[in-house]
Amino acid sequence: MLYDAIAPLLPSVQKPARYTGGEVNMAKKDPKNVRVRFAFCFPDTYEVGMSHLGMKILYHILNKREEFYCERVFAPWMDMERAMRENRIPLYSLETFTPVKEFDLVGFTLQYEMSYSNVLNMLDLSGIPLTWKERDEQDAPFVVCGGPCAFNPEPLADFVDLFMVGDGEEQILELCEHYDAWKARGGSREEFLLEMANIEGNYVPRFYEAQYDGSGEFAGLRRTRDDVPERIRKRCIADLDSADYPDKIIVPFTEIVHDRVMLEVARGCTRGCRFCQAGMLYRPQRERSLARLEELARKLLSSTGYEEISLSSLSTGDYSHLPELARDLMQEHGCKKVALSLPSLRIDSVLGDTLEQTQAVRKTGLTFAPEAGTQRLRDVINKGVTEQQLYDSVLDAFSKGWSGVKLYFMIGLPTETYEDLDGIAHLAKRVLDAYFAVPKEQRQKGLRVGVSASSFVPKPFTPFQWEPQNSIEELQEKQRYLKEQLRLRSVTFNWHEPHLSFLEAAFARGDRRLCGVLLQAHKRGCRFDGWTEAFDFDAWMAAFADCGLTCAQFAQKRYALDAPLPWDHIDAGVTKAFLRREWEKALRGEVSPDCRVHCHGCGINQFCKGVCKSCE
Amino acid sequence: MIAEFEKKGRMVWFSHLDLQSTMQRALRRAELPVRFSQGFNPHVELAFATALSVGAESLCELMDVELAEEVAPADFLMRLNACLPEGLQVRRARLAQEGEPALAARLAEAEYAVCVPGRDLRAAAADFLAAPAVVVEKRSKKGVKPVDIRPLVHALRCAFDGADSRLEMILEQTNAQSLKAELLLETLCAGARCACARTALYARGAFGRRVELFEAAK
Ligand code: SF4
Ligand code: SF4
Repeated sequence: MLYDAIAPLLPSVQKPARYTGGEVNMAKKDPKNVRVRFAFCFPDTYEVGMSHLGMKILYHILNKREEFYCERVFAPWMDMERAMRENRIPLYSLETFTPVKEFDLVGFTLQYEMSYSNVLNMLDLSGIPLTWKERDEQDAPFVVCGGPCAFNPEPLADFVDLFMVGDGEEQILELCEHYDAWKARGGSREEFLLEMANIEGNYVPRFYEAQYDGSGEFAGLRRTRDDVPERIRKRCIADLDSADYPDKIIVPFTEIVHDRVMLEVARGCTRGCRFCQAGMLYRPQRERSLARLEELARKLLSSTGYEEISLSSLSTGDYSHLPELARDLMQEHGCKKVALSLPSLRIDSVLGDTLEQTQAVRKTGLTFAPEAGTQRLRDVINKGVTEQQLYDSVLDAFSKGWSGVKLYFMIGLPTETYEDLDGIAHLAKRVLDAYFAVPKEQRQKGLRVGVSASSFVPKPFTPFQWEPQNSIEELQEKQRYLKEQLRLRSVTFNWHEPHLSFLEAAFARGDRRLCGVLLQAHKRGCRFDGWTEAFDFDAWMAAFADCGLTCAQFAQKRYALDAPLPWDHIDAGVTKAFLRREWEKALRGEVSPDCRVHCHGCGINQFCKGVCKSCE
Repeated sequence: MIAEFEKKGRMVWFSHLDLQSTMQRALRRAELPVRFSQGFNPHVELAFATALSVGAESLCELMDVELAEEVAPADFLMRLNACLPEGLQVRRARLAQEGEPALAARLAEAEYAVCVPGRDLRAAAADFLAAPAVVVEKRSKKGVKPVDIRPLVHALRCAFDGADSRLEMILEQTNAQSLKAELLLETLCAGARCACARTALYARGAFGRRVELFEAAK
């Protein structure tokens, strides 16, 4: 067995438990008795991948079916990769130590653009040809991808057989079922993919072709045969309550990023922040019922033994039964010392009641995301939060014994000026004011205010999809300026190197020409780009140059409003007309209130036939 | 409840810290009536005799679990094992006695069995035993310092079957001082790749006699 070859390498690598599986609740099957083997690959480390909710859901759904076996694969850290390459050990699954190459289907989840180089590297480590053309020749496994980045699949079009767009719960089962039938009857690869291409939500890039204009710029995507759909409609699960959700999840031995039970209380978000891709992609907002969540919490806690539970969604504070849910969970599980953590508290969510209950068990970090420093810019991005609300919320928190607050901002947003940066410093000062407004004997000592500024990345399917990103120099200058403004007692300022955001912007909105860049970057050794210790910016720039392209031409591109966009063939449910209206409103500084107050006709309700509860 | 458990196969690769959370969660899954610590982050009251190096097997790890209600040892063993993965199973359990001191306080020695493939270490072992002192560089949190490890080795036997050496060793393992099997092996045969397993933990009984820590309640 492959394990015997792996074990001798483990004493010399960091965190060896990443590579050996065998955890509690891992799916155990005899590979000989299953019909379809699916390698679920997460293109990042074990700790990151194991924390991902989507993977847990799909793993559960597939393994519930006796005839399918879904196994996990993560990207080995660089020390392990070196050891594996030196000893000619191929990438393998943690369940049965089977080489990935022996699987029927190899699926990657694309959570962020900066994991693409790991996708190629993992295929390479598996000995699977990188492009679908080469795989056709060798009859290698099919490579399929899903996740939010599948909404602009073009930068990976040469490497992937099939993209699955939207909610994956039903899609992943259909894929395995169709594969099973196809394998049984024995047809050509193309025949299988053609069949898949005609199922809603599936995109098979080989049946489409990119056009370029005289100057070499992207000029649209066209299908090359008329028996595939012109546009690919995303999949959407209408009713979350009846959707499958794991009642047991794997409990890793070694600590992972989110080491707890995660309850997905809702999918989607009603707030409509204009920079936020997730808010657009996961429309309409759908909630799980209180009864269902309490049942799931009960089962998950007893099957995992976890001591902590978190509520997860894009905007957990907006979940309509949040206070009841928090109270019931604490009442039922508090005696077993189960802590409840509410990660993404929002300024205007029902803080009071819930906060006190969280505090009764375990304090988690208090975070606020005003995103922009002035009301003007917050109106532009439609972040419906006011200075007064922020002040009141932190005042309330400080008077209840909190002493640490984190504030998240973005720099480089469309229309931003230095006044908006001053606004960030102003808000930080207001938080300090709030702290000192609480009587000394009432407040906790040790005030800590963390201000962090990330760089804005324009994303497809947002009202800012046409906007260019600031240049690296502009972003650095803004960071320097902010650093000066934030030299305040008790305040620490964190920022991200803009180089990564620059690359992210290119891949987020890029077209098929980036496939070549990615391949070159892979050849130049790029991997783990999201990790500072591994990120090699120069290698990436060289990869662009290899292809006669620049990163700036994608990242800083202003798409014309009527120009074809590389992701136009994907139908995310929100219409281009709506995005354009929102973009125009943004420039006028006009807000669009929360969907629960007012429907803005984004199109999703026609798309998913009346599923949007908000617009009733 | 005092429980002896094995840690082998795929289970050897996680650390002592990971073992703590793994056991706590298994005890919760088994719904055993554990006791929780007071304070900010309450956890299951659970104490181990000692830590084990990552990568090493053991047949004899010991832990002391505080229970709020009495549970029969056989019941405890069965319920906990149903919630523990393969390779991490309880082998035997007994009730802790009133006023029994902590396992770690009574631990005196640990026994190891090691197989070193392709090497004859009989002479090296004999030389080691014959030496009045063997000073090696020992790495600790405070840095590297020379230590005489000879007095920390209480028994060392080596058998050779024509291909591989099999060693059995009993090493000092107290709160104050301990010798890792890996360090002794490194001294005997630098750079050897070998499989190391802990086979027993001992306390000092009456007249300085060696008794199994699991048995020794007092
Ligand atoms: S609140 Fe805004 S940023 Fe957060 S998920 Fe919703 S739309 Fe996105
Ligand atoms: S249909 Fe209306 S209410 Fe529903 S998500 Fe779209 S804009 Fe919001």
